[in-house]
Amino acid sequence: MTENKTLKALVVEDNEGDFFLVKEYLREVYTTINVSHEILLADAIVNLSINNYDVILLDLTLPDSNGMHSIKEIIEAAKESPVIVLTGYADKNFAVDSLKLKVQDYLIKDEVNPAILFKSISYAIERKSIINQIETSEENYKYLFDQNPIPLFLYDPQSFEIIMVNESALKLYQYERETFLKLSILDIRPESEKERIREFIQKTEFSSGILFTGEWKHLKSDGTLMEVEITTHDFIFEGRQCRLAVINDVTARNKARRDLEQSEKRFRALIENSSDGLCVIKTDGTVTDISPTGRRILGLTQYQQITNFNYETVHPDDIDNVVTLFNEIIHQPETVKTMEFRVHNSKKDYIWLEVTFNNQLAEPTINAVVLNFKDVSQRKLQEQERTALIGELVQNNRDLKQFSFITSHNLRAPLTNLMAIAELLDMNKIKDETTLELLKGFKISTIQLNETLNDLIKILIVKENTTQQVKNISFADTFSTVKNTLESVITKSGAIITTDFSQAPQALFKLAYMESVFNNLISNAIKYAHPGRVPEIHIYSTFNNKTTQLIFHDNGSGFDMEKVKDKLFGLYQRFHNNSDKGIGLYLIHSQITALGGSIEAESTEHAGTTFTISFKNS
Amino acid sequence: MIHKVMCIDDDTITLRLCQIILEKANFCDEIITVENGELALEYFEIQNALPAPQQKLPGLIFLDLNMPVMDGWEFLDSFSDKFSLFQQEVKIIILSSSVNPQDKIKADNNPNVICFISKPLSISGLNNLKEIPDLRSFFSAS
Repeated sequence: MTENKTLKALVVEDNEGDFFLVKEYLREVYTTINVSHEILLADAIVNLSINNYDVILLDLTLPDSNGMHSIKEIIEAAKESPVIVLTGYADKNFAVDSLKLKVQDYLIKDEVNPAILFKSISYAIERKSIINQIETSEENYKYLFDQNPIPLFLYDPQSFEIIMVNESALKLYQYERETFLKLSILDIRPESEKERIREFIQKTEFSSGILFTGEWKHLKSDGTLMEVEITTHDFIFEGRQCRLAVINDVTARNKARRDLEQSEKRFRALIENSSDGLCVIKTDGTVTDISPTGRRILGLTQYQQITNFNYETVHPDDIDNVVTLFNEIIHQPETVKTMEFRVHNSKKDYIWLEVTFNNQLAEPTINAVVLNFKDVSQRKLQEQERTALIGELVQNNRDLKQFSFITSHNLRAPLTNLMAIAELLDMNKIKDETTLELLKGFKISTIQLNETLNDLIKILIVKENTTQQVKNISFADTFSTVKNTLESVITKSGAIITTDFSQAPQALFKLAYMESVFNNLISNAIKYAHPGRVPEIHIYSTFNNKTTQLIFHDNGSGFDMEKVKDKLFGLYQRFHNNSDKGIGLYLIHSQITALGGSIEAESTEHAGTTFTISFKNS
Repeated sequence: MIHKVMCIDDDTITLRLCQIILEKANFCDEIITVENGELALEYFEIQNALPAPQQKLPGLIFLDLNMPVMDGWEFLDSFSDKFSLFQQEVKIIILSSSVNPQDKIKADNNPNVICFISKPLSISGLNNLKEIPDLRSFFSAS
């Protein structure tokens, strides 16, 4: 018992005799002792604030304090040092109470001897050290709980009361600590989940294992619903069955997952309902995926597999182009190219596909070429029919034109003979009156036939739109030429013709056509002059809105626009009783429109007529 | 006046009328008429066989285009092929009732054709021909 032992002790004792006794006992059992002595509680507290002791021996009746008060004060001041109460009388109840106040032991003065004291001190020191360790560990745990970034709370699985909560959980649930600690775990759940949690807790036995309880719906203070995963751990805390709930807010994760699912679903639906077929091809031509529409286009049944877009499926005339394009595509990342080619469908018929190749080799989730295709067989067929039809029409038109030239020629050949005969006939030598009259009729008819045929040929030549060059034609020059040609007619009619080409001196046109326009419109104006009125013709040009216009205005007899509107520029339309073939307006209309221009007429009966010609620019 | 004129036309009435008009216009002394290009070529072959002083070549040919057996274009090709020596002496005018503008263009582009005139041949038309550079020399004396 007298091993080399050192003890540093504080004895708080107002009775000098008792102190002496205790000190003697200690000296007996310890090799070295260092004993301090305080009489007053206040002095003892000051002493403890400066010094550390292995043990504090406290007498309960002190001059400035006693009983419970002394114990509380000393324990507070002693911190990690064990406190043993020495008391003069045996009071069991008080002893038990003092133990609750973390006193390590109590000794009745009359019963104390060195052995008992030594044993009590040794146990007290040992026990206090363990308690200190536990307290440190508890503090650590508390710290871990409070500062944990994972939301945590502690509840009583019997009463559902929430016992503790950490900062992170308060932040998550958006509560003040005091409010949260008044809640039960039912309060943080929506109505729909309350029954479920009740049943769950009822069924779950209290055990210290870690339990993953799955996913739950919880409410924040503002009523926002969130989805949480909860892991629980049961243990006894302060004598109570407690359950630690570890909260993992998975609202965002779930939403992202649902969004992804939704977007995938939408994408699927798009592909499946698209009128275009989709097909995914590896660089070696292997088909890894094909959409339902794609199957339908190619006539594949649901289970039939298409393995390759290759020499067997693509039309032999197209395969080289397809291979060339495909090779180009796979060597140029993210390029998109479209071509039309023929492939076999399941019935071994060729169909025309319009295929868009999209290089998605760089996209890790695809890593292939995506083909977007539709069946354009119908369109191709129509195109082919249309091309054939156009070819046929062009040929027909060419044939008809040729036919017109041949017909005209064949008609002209004998007609030219008739014309020559008419010219050579010497009427003076004919004596018979009737024969003379008949011959005159023959001559007139021949000339008329010749004129008619020539007019028709002119039209034919306009339609053919040949040879003459389009160039800038001067209005003044053309007028001067035509005026000379028509000189006798103009003089005979006494017509007054005025011109003003200062606004626009010229227009892009063909010389012969321009002469034809002036010739026809001037002779028409004279031919259809108002009876009893000197014909006045004003010809002028304008330039506005980038358009050159040539206007012929006369004071002739005019016509009823309502009646002639649609027929004015038609072939062989005559609106007057004069002898006129009615071809002039048709001819110039053909000539003007052949060069992209237009002609319009305005007329009032008995007042006059205005023709406006608009030339096509550039 | 041109000494000798040849008319090539499949229409005998046309040939006869040409004859009358040429005479009335005092255009030539003599008229040879043939009904197609082949017959015309035969004429030239015969002339070609004769020694030069005895050859009777026309100074001018009025050539129709649309003819059976050998048409005007074929005649022009064969004539320049076989009788290139005569080309200097024999001038050719296309006299046609064709209204196809392509025929006129083709005639203008043929170096052996001096001009293209439309039927019918008339006295006034012939008088105009007397003035053109290629023929003027024939008529300058009169």
